[in-house]
Amino acid sequence: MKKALALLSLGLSLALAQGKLTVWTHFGGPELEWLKAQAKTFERTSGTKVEVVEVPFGDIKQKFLLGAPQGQAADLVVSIPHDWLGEMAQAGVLEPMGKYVTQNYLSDLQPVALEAFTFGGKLFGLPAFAESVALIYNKKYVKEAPKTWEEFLALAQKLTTGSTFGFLYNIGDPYFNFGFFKAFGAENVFGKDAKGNLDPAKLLIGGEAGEKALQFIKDLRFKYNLVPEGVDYGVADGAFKDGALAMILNGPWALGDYKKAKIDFGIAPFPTPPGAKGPWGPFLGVQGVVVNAYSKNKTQAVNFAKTLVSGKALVSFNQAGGRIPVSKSAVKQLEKDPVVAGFSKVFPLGTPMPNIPEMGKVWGPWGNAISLAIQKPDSNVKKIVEDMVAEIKKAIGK
Amino acid sequence: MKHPPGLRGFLLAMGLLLGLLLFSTGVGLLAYFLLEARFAPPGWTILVVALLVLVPGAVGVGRLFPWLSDWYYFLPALAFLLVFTLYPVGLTVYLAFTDYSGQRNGFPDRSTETRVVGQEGPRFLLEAPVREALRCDPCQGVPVEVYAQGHRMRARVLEAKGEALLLDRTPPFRAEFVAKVNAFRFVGLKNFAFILSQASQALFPVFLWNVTFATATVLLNALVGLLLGLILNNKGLKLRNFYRTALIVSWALPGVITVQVWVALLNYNFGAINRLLGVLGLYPIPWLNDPDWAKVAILLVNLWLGFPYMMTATLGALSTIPDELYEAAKVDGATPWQALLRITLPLLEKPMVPILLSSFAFNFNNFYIIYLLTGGGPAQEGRLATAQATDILISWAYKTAFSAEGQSAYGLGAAISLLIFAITVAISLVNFRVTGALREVK
Repeated sequence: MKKALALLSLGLSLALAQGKLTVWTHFGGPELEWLKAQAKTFERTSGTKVEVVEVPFGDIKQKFLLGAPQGQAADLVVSIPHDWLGEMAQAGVLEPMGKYVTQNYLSDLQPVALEAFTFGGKLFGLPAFAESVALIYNKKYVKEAPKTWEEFLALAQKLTTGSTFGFLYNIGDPYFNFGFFKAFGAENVFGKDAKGNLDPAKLLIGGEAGEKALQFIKDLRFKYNLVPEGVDYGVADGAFKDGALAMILNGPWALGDYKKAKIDFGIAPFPTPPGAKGPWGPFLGVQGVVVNAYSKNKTQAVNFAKTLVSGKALVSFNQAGGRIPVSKSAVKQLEKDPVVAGFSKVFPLGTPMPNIPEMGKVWGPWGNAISLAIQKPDSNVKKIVEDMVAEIKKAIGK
Repeated sequence: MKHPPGLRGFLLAMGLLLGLLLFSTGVGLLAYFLLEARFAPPGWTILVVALLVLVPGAVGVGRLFPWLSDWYYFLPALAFLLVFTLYPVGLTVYLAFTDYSGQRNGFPDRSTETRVVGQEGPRFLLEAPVREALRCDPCQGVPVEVYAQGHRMRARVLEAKGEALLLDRTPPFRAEFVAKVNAFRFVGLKNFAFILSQASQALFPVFLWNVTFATATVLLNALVGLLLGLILNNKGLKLRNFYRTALIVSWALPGVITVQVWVALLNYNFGAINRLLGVLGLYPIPWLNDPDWAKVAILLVNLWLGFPYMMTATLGALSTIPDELYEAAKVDGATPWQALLRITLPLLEKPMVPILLSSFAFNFNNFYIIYLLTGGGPAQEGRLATAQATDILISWAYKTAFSAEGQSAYGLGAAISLLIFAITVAISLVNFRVTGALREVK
């Protein structure tokens, strides 16, 4: 018995001692191939084995939060969206990266990406690529992107026929709708405190901005008759892929499929909605590579992370899937790419999604309010916004 | 070699076995924590040490109580019971009274990580003012973790002044960093108070719909299942086996997939069902977009999923009724209708009632039909985002714990689970008492 145990423990410690990195990823298709190729190259140059494990996007955060302190999580995650950052950093599972990176590396990053991956004044990951929604139009129906709301509306209504749709999008999801809240005066979800950090006590999506934005979203359905009931992400995306939809609000993640469906598309900002205070501006999401704070092999993990976000690697990553890198040098090399060019006109209008953990208490009530507003033509937008603000404040104040 | 008789013997044996298991686990944990201050031992050290204690311990106790050796066959089962049943249950009860969450998880907050520039015993000099770096005010009593490559130690702050930090313990290694620990606390009944403060927006309406849903779906499924069972039991029916197989298909397919197909079928503008209604000249129905119609949709889809079970149960129960009874009834001049009312239905009651009750208990917590079909939605005015039109208690608990309150409010989720447990037990007791389903068990 004791002998068997001794053998067992010997075997286990051997398995641990062999330098090996585990990587969790939500990439699929050509992007997964890209990651595996990068892992192979790293194996050759460093001698450290890299195992790439696919984990569904929706499971990564939960699994990582629970598993990392028990030594049950990957050494790296490729990649997390920056809005998980605050929660994961506070839970202690992310390794602060400040001590590993050079000034040279930082200056090559777009400032907005740096801001997105900084929480409590510390850098917690290496940003890799950015994404946001934009108006994607099918050039078969729309020759040139509409510049004003009037142009947009006329076009969208003209193209809404028995067999085609002018404009559809995932209308119930706050992420797709933030652009309208920003246009009507909500600079971000939360305001900033004196030090420039997001302050959860200052909720900006309520009040007048919230009411007007919600009214506009409701009008899209009931006044302009554009986004009928029953439209969700799948319906809108499917219609665009089938070539039955002229314009959609969607992001870079969908473009691979559109290319595959041989849709000739263009990318543009959404025009300023009627009566808005400023231009439409979407949530900007940055995804980056993070390292497990409990990793047994941190140095190699950081080295691998660095090779993944190098300008050269990001260019080949863009060619694999079409994501838009945040490294200035990579963007420069990709200037001619229509997708990169299109989104680089949209990104400056955007706002980085809040990365503080309180954001987790906003999504539910916010989405609820939008669904309520678009449920009936006579919904009371003012009351809906008041209820939403009360629910969010109560959850945050607890 | 005989063990003490009766209950006393049983309890003594169980006590000894449990004592052995708990003692060896305790020693394993103790060894782990003692080792932890020196180096970072792997988690399975606990298991190894525990086994090293358990095996000689079992031999020793076996010498003292020779009759106990038979009972050792229980040890594996007992260990599994402890680990996989009693421990999670105990943990749920405990967490319900804490504010444990994804962030307050008892681990160091790495966003407060601060470099240690000087160390002398329990006195540390940090590279930044303590109050700001560790984000604590007052800092006294705050739990922190000091660590270096391969070493970590927990301690509490005794005093913080400027960049100087005094802890209540001295680490046996050279510390490189210090970070605040996000400890979770015992909060008493606060979680329950929070749930009850939302009672009118969440608990009451959700509970009402939950009871309505469970009752209606069981009755509806049972009625349809009974009717089809009676029809299929008719020996004169041609192609009986074909019908029986065809009707069971919806039960045989995995619900996780078929429910999602139903979501597509029921779509307001693009679903096949509303298109069909349109062909027939009817108005489209907002199946999943209207708070009331969504309830109807759930009952109908659950009927589609659930009637084959009731039908099969009916067919099984019918086959236990002897044919002689019907022959005798025929001889006495009873019509088929009378035979149904006086013989079949009364004889079906006994086997069917326990099935109905267990089906009620199952549907009361039928998370997946709600989660997959409507996700609890659509939104309803005056209700919380976590408790929408078709949310039942368990989906409300899930949303509260995993999607709304910072996405991982385990303490609050545990409190709701305890409430659901109490409600389910109460309802089941009432059910069993009223119907007397457990009476024969005596």
